Amino acid sequence: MSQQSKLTNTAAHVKCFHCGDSCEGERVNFEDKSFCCHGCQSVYQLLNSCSLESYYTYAPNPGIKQLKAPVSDSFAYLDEEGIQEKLLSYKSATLAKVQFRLPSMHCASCIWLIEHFYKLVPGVIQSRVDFTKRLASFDYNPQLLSLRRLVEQLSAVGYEPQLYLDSTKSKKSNTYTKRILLQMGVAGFCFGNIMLLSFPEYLSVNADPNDIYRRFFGYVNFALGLPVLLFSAADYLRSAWQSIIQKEINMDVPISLGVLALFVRSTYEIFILGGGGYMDSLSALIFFLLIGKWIQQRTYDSLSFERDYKSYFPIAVHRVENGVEKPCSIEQLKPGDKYRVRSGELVPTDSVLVEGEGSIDYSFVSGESEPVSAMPGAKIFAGGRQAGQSLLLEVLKTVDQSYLTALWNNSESGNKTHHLASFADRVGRRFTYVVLAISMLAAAYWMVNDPPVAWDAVSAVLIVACPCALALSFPFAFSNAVRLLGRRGFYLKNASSLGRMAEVDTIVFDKTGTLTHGEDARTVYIGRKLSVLEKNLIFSIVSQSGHPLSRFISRTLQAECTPVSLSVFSELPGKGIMAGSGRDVYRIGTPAFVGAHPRQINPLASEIHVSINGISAGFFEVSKNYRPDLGAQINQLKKRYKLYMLSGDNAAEQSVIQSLFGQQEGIYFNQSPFDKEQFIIALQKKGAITAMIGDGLNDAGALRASDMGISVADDVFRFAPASNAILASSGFACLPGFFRFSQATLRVVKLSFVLSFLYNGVGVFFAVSGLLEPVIAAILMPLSSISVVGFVTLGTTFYYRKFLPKTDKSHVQY
Amino acid sequence: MEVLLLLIIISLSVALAFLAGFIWAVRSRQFDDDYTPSVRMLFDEDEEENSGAQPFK
Repeated sequence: MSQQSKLTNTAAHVKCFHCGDSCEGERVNFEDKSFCCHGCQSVYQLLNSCSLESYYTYAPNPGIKQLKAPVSDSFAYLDEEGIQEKLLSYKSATLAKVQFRLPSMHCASCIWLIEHFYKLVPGVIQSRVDFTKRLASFDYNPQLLSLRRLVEQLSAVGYEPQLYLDSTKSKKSNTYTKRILLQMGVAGFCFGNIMLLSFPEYLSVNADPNDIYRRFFGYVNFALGLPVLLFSAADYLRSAWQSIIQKEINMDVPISLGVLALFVRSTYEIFILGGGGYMDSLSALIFFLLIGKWIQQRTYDSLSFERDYKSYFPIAVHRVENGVEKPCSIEQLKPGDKYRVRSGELVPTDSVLVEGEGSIDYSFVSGESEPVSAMPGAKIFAGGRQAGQSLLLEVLKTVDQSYLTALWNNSESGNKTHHLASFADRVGRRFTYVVLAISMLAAAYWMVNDPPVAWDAVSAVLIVACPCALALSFPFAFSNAVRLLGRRGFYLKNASSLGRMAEVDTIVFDKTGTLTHGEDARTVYIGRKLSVLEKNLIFSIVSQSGHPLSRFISRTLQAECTPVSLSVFSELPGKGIMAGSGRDVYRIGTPAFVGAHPRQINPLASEIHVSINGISAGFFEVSKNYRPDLGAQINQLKKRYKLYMLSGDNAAEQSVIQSLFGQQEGIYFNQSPFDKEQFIIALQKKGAITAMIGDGLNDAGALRASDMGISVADDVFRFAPASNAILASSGFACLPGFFRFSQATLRVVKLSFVLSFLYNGVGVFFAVSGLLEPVIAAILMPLSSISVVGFVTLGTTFYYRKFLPKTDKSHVQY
Repeated sequence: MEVLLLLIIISLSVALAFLAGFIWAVRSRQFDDDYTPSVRMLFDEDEEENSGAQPFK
């Protein structure tokens, strides 16, 4: 590459050829392309040199911007045998297989590049992508390429694999999906063939029972019905049996009763009476039910809803043995071991600081973003993140016994069963009793009047009352709704979460990361121009204060100021700081303290006024980045829900939050993760059905304890604590719409119940009068199912358009 | 007319062959990922192959 890359400073609206970011500020020109930074340009150059330039043809600006500089040995632990063994699925002398999650894959170009990785890195034999799960499997030659080098190369082009302890776990859901597919295939096959063979039966009214074709068709139908009952319907029968044993009748019980009644009666008719039976209805029923089940369990494979604290920990740390640092997996850490933690790394287990100056950010655990300083000898808890120099630590407890793990496990055992049984099961239970009552009454009536008809009537009631349409309306309504919500960046874990969401009456918010984006605050100085000396003094004063607002100001001034010494310093809590240098007296704080008039330009911002020798100079406006239109959304939600706000931060922003929520009570600060969880449990004890909306591990307990945990994430494919739903932060504005839509969906489902009860009523009328012909059953069943499915699909789509109208920006790509 | 019985058996066996095909497809994980292949088929063939490495079979 002989071309020279030039650095120009034009702030034009040029998009980076690699990543698509605007090239504002810095702009790198290379060949005839523009790049936003040298990182992007060097990736382009690298791909070009390996004749991989097609990368840029499958999608516009497919690249991923490198936000952090690579640390040379951050993947050194991958050279360890023990860790390799955990990650590799196969290894021989010349072939190794490994599978990674690459969350940054997002387009066709990404698939192309990863599948052509052999061109970029010698030693890769082949690679294959499963895009929906964001998985990539690599076959490589370990003699030519080390695992560490492969991971480094992936990271270098922007696809850093997610390597966590539980990424080594194999996934179980796959075999479950396969089983449903197979059951569906068998049921569909039998359904089609039985239908075909049953046509003569539908058409002939008074056929001769000894007709050879009639008998033959009957036997074939029986043979085809058998696998449907034994294989396709097996899960329903098993679940029904278990629910009877546990005395918790669910929807599968009436279904199984209907299936068994159909099968027994058909067998009797085929072999004893020489008739056709109802095998067509049986297989159609199972086929439709399985379709519903299959649709219902199709969720977002690429999202992980079951993360626990371990997903946040690194796989390995640098253990120090005899003065030599060696990577070691965190599970192997024993009390007494010494290990090193670098800046930005998590402390994986409770430890004692041996060497270095700690500045530990426990926001992960406590929610308080203020770093805690620690001196050698201090105890450091798992989950803290070191910001600053690297530390030498000594292990106190193994990872499994640390404070964080204990906290996690505690809350897990406390919340095994949800007090909300699923809505479908509650309906199913009542339904079963009604069906049994009707069939008993019919039996009793016919026993008295015409005993031979009794058997007909009872089995017919069980058949037509089989809640097929009922069982289908849930999965179709909910999965359609889940799909529609996904378009707006709201990803539900499963369909039943939607039913739970519709019943919520209380919403609890977290503050940082939920009501605000990120932790960044914008600090602007408004007032007369300050001299350099004045600025330096203000900087020195605020940097001595631990108040968050002071820290925001000091962070803003940091770049242009140098600290100077102060002669007087006193901080008055809730008011401000008075400090002096030489003869000058500075007051920094509330308007009243400083002696200035409050301006209140921005209601969501805090004003910190400055006066020098009693004369007001101006003020700093610190505005937390609250999400746009937050006030309007909260007002909308307030009309229907009881709202609370829990924050791990201190109460500096209390007045802002109170005006935002328009309420004085229900807003709490200084809440530890444990407090948050207990708060939710207390609400539930009072009978509230709560939704918790939060982010980060400090909300994890509360998210899990709540009836509906919604975790907000900037990048939905990356971190999100265990929850019922993941909300992309871009979709936050639609939150009131999501809640209203969930209620509307439940309403649609209830209406569909009325519809399916009507069908069942008609069927039961035929059944109790002992007149149920196979042809009536064969028409009624699919008709009711299809109309109910159509009804719920149209209904949910209608409400989606009503409550979540399309805007230009709200569309989120899944 | 007895030939009808034979024909039905033949038609059923043809149908069974398709069912077997479906079961094989599910077992060999062809339904695991229903998105990536639709993108993959649109990639251009490689003009030159280098260093003995092989694309996907």
